[in-house]
Amino acid sequence: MEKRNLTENNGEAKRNISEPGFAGIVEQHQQSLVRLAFRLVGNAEDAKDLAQWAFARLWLNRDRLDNEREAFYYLRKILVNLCIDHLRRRGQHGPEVEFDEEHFSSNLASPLHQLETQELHKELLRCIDELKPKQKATMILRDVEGYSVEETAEMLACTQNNVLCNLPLARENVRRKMQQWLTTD
Amino acid sequence: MKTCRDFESLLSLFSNNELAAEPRAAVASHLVNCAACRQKIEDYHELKKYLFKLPTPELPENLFADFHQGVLDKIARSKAIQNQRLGFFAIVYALYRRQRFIIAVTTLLMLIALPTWLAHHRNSRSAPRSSLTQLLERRDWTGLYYAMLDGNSRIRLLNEPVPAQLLNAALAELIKTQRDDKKIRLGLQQILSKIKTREGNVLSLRRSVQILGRISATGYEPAPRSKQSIWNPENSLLVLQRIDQNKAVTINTLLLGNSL
Repeated sequence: MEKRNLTENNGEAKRNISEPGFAGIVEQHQQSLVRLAFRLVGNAEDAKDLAQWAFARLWLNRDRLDNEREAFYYLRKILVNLCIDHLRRRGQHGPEVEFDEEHFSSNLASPLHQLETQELHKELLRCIDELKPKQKATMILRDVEGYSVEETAEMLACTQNNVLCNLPLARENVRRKMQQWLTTD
Repeated sequence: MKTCRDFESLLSLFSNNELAAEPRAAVASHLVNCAACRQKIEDYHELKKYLFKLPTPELPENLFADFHQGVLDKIARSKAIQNQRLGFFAIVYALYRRQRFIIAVTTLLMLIALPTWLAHHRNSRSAPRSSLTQLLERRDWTGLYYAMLDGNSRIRLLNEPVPAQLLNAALAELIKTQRDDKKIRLGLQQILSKIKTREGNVLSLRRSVQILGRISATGYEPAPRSKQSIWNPENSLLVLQRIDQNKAVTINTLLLGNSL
């Protein structure tokens, strides 16, 4: 009984994220979240906007969270779902992915190789962008960002089976469109 | 015997070690005898390599300059949206929790105010508006258009007798100007058809009559099949010109094509 009280108290002490604490969270995670959103929506301004909405949601729902670590997971989940909604809305107007060399860092040796690789990356991003929003998000989180199936499912607020259903569809779509690059290389 | 198609969805999972032991063994045994699937597996391996090597996006430095302020703005906007949603019920709930006396007074005031407001609203709706004669004399096409939007006033206007001379002159002017002024054209359409036409989706006069039929004081008349009975403003003008100019006519009789 005493032990339970103790943990309850600890939980209470951790519960509320204070204003300075929130500012710290924003400072700490803004770059990684905007980067993740940029991967998903392909546009820096939209990515920033979506990340800001995710932080706003975190602040409004801070009572539900226990600690800062949980806050980060919550932020990621909210952001990914905001991005999927954004992609669905944008779907009607067609894809609008930015792929400027300045947005991507690469340190490749020969200029010819560099040009070829940039072309490949452009094509790859275009193929990914043509996927359905959920498939796109699944593929980016799992194959590009390298999250585990479990983490991907958690971020997408779906089951692992759902992820394992979407992944082959997305990969097969991209493989077909990238056939030229895959066979010639 | 399973075919390549049965394994199609498992190949990419196989190449990424995402399969459970049993299906993995099944795919492995299939791959021994299937070159096409082996090729696909190689493609998936290569694709995985490319995906993994996709460069990290580099974001412009100035992107984060006003980031925190943007978050605060969005928090304020979210709160405003939340408050809008809660609206009236939240206020009543808060009052109820704090002060039962206030809620009683508010309810009483609302009970008094509501019938008064409703009566006022009804009066304002049924308040006398410009007659068709006045509208036509002023050539107030916009006024005519808005009057025609309202079902009750439309019936009133359609059945209001006006001098044939006035209607004749007005219709002639309307036909001349209908190509220039969208509002007038809309108004004219509104006289003839039931639809609330939106701007940018303007049906031609003839087409709207063909599709919708006519609205008259006695009710809706479906579109006539015979082309001869489609209302033509020019014909109506000819009819109007032929009759005694001092005779009182209604738009309704003109629309129905009744003999004047």
